[in-house]
Amino acid sequence: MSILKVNTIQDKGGNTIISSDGSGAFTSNVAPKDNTVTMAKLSTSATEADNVKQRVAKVWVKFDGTGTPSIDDDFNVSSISDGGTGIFTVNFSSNLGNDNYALAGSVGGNSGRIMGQEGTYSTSAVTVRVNDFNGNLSDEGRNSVIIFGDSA
Amino acid sequence: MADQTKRIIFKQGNGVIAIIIPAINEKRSIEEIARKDVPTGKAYKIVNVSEISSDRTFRDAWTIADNELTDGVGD
Repeated sequence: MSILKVNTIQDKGGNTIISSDGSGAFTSNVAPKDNTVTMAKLSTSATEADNVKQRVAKVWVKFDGTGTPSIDDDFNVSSISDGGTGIFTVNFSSNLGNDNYALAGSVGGNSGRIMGQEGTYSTSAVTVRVNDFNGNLSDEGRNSVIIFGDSA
Repeated sequence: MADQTKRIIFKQGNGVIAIIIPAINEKRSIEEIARKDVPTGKAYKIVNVSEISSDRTFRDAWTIADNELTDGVGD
């Protein structure tokens, strides 16, 4: 077995691709390409490329709004507030950077149901409502919310 | 994982109670979630999930006396 010890790797043009300060930490100038995003790239490291950060959902949750409502799974969610029939507030574990985020919501289980955003967007939480095909608020079993936006 | 056996209740402006469900991947304690996610200045109570009715027929009529919300106030 051989060991290669270097502090800097450059391409043929002299551009630094990877460099080390000798402490074990590396700085990479390699931009991720499509289909090369790995779990390691999803960390909160300040060295991650911005385009990777922009591609990752900052909040997601799937919850059951029937019976005694419960959360099936989540990311960056501290809790959900059940405000009444068909009204649920998703509280973020870590605040988002601003309120210009994109939200998608879906409802499964019964036909004709639709989820929409209620009230104002906030960096710490967002409220959604679920309506049935008559426009009445409705509790449904399979609710999903996904948010893309800027981290704080 | 936040305690899934507990719920946090507080009274909304319209008098109907809200019920906070802790997220399963949240590292905060139920008390920390209560202080964070209950609206500022609102009194709350932490209850066992078994105390919450699963019959939501009259969900929008659920309310509680203010003097029962004794576990803290939202930050």
